[in-house]
Amino acid sequence: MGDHSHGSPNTSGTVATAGQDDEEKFRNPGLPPHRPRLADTNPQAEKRAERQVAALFVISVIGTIVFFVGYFGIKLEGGHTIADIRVQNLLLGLGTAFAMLGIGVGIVHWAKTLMPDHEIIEERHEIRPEEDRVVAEKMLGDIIEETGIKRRPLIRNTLLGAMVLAPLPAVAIFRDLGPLPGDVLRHTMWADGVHLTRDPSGTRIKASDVTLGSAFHVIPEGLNESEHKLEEKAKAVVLLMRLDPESLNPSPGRENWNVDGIVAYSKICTHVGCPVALYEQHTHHLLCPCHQSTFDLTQECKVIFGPAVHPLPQLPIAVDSEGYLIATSDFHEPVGPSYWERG
Amino acid sequence: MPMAMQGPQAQQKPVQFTEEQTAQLAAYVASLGAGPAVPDEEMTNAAAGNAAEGGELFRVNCAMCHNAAGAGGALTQGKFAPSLEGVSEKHIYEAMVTGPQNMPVFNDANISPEDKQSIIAFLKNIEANGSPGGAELGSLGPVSEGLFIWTAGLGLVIAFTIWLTARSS
Repeated sequence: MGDHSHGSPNTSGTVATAGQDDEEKFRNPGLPPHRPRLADTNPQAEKRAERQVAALFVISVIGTIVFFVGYFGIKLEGGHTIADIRVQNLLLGLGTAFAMLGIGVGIVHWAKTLMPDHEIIEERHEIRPEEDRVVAEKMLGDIIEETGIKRRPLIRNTLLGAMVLAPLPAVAIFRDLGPLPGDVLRHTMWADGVHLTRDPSGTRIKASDVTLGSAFHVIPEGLNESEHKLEEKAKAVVLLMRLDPESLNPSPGRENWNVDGIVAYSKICTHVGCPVALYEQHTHHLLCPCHQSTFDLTQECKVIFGPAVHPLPQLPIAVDSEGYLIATSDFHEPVGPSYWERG
Repeated sequence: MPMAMQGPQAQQKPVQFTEEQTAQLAAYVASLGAGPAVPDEEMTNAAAGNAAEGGELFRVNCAMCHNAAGAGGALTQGKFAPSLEGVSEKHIYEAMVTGPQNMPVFNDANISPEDKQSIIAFLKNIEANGSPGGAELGSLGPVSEGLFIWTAGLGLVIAFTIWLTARSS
């Protein structure tokens, strides 16, 4: 099958056209004449190109040396600073980059200037469907014959068995994605009587400490000791703010969810779950830094801008007998982004 | 004070009063009612704070507006959180206790004076240490880094493709 292309340094002629009415077809202009490069004709230029390629390879060698200078030369044990790490990163990165780049650029430069550059034509062959199919069928037949799969049922059957079993690990791996979350997305650590505490210290918060204009970042008491701390925190984080009680407009049923203008809202954006914590104390807007969803605290965190759809869930709060803030229940709706089962 | 012009956010402008006049004004305002006092030297001493703890507090309380590296960031409708680089220790402390413009107040019951000191220590620490990952490009994250890689990086790739396919002279 090697008759489809034939090329030699000297062929740069036209492709022969078949058929009778040659005059009506475009003439194949062929390839432009072969133009020798500087290095082909001038021995000095050739020598120079050779030196350039060698220099690029030497740059690669230097790059590798620079990498190891950075790797072994900079000791990070004890008393190192971020500045040392920065120098090491720089040497490792530059060293590797030039080690690779030197070889790559050198080889391309070598091929372009010094290696033969004759043009080769690969001609398009006629389409011969019947012949090609016969050849292909014969090849397939030969392959099957040569493997001897028909004569060796033991090999065939064990192969079939192996192929049937091989996809099973994938089933096991995908099974690990489960079990289905059930109702864990609907519930958080908050419950009646759970104290509001500061993030990250976990100390309780007195209602009187939350002065007008303040913003507290809140986690439920006991979160730092819980087994799945990060999973629980991702659902339970709350932002606590104090507004003028006059500016709150609680809807029926939510009148007693705040304490003298102190309100607590979930910090998890209902769009894709970024922490909404950019609180503007004058406009009472909460802004999500990821996609600019904006929630209005004076309208129970209704979405006033951006891609979020649901308002932020409010956490009902009260004070205990010692004046510390407590939750009076869990959130009344799932926190965070929508999901299929949320409805 | 007075604002140079009405707008979503009052911009920084040249100081109008002398140090002494500012102190006298503050003393008069303080006589009108209770409020946070000017922090003393000890409270704003960054060397006494714990930068690691300060970093944790900064990421919980401040980083969402001021950026994880303190480079500042945008808020709604033209407002913005300013960069914290080069801001004096006293200024940072006063901003936390008073909550200028739209910044919330972080009173001593929320973040104790020692914790405020730690936050200042963290900010001064990252300022002094520079960026371990190389050029920080303003610490603005994907915006400046993306712009850089899409122009400089892609430009380099295009230059290489042109060179690869060009004939040697």
